[in-house]
Amino acid sequence: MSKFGTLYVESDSFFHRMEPSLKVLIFVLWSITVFMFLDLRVDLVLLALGSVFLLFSKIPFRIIRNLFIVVLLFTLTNALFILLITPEYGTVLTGSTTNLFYGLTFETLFYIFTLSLKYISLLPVVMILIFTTHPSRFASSLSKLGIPYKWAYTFNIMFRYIPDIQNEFKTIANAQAARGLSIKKDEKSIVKRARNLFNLTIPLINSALARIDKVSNAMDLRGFGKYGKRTWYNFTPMRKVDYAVLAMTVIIFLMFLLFRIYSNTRFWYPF
Amino acid sequence: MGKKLSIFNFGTKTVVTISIGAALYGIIGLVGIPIGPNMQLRPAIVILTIFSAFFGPIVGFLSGFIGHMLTDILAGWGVWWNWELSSGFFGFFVGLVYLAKGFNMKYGLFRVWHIIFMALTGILGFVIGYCFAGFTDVVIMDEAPRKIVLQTVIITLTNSIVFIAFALPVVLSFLLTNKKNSNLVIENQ
Repeated sequence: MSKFGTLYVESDSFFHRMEPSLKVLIFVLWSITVFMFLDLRVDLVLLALGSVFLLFSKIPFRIIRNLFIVVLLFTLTNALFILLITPEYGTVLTGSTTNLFYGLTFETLFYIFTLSLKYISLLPVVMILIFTTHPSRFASSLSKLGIPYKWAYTFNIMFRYIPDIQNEFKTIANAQAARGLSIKKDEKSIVKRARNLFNLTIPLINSALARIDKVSNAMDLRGFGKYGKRTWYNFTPMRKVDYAVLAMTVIIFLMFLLFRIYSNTRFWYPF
Repeated sequence: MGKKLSIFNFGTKTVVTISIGAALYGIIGLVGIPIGPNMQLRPAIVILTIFSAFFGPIVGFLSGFIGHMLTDILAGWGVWWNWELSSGFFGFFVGLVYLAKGFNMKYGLFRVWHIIFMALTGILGFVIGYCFAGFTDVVIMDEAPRKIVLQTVIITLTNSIVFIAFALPVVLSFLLTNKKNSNLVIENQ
């Protein structure tokens, strides 16, 4: 984790330079596209497109790999649960049954494969949004999307105080551990460990309440919220490239939308 | 005594409260004690309950929603807006007690029915939140319905137990502690 308390990776790439509000828009349209289909072809196209994006984004391969492992594990357990609980769901969707062995049908396997790819195809844009967007630029660009600046500013303050709160948590946990109320493995009884962990919340909340007063008083003193508009230190205007990307995004999204309208079934099953 | 801010007041303090609440909820959301497959005792619920009771449903909703988003991003599995909204719903419902007459966290004012009301709305918040998340998972992610029902029931039950067993006692202790230093009366009014 970087000093910003987020996963932002400092670098200079096409996506790092891109306007953050545009990245949010791409993320939203991409998600809507994924939600519209249960179609292997669409997932594969999006995954290929996303891989190209990731190549351009200069995110270190190690980070991409770790994230993929996490999501892969999630989809695998998810697939296992579906197989255990509803092994006949593929038949419900397609209306045909092709038994492989022991009640395991080809339709269900195909459905699970499509579903897993659907989850994974959401990943590339999320990664780009998280790893290539500087938190402060993100907050300032939210106001460009029409969100009132006070709301956008909540993100600024949140990212600002994440490291402080993390330190506070460590300090309080260590202080409690020194009193014999540990939340780590050295406390053998799991019940006690749970109680110690839950008891940590009280000093944390108390310090957070004090912090709220301090910060909001300081902001009031500096006249925060007096005017309806404000300027941003990290403000960047839209460039020509950004407009081109915006146009491309909308066109591609409309193509997917048309494809959805003309393909009559939601679940694509060619067999 | 015990004047409360309107929940629609969106001043500096509300902004700061939402952000610090979200940061706290987001970070503590990463900590949990595993008790079974895919199940955790999450102390973050205590945080959200206290913040909602202190500052009302709107702050609770936004802290829960943004904070849960932060948890998911920091944990590294992306953004799942429907499960994040479920935290928002819980924050909203458990914060409804803020609107009740005679309830004030800051001055430790409460009646027994406030606590019962809070317990009921909290569980209602979990039910509505997770039903919404499960429903959207079926509709937009095409998950198998029976699996989602099972998941929703389990997660609602474990979280409700944590809420009743851990969060409500903390709310009570806050109320009782704050009551001790609020025995002053405003005379000339």
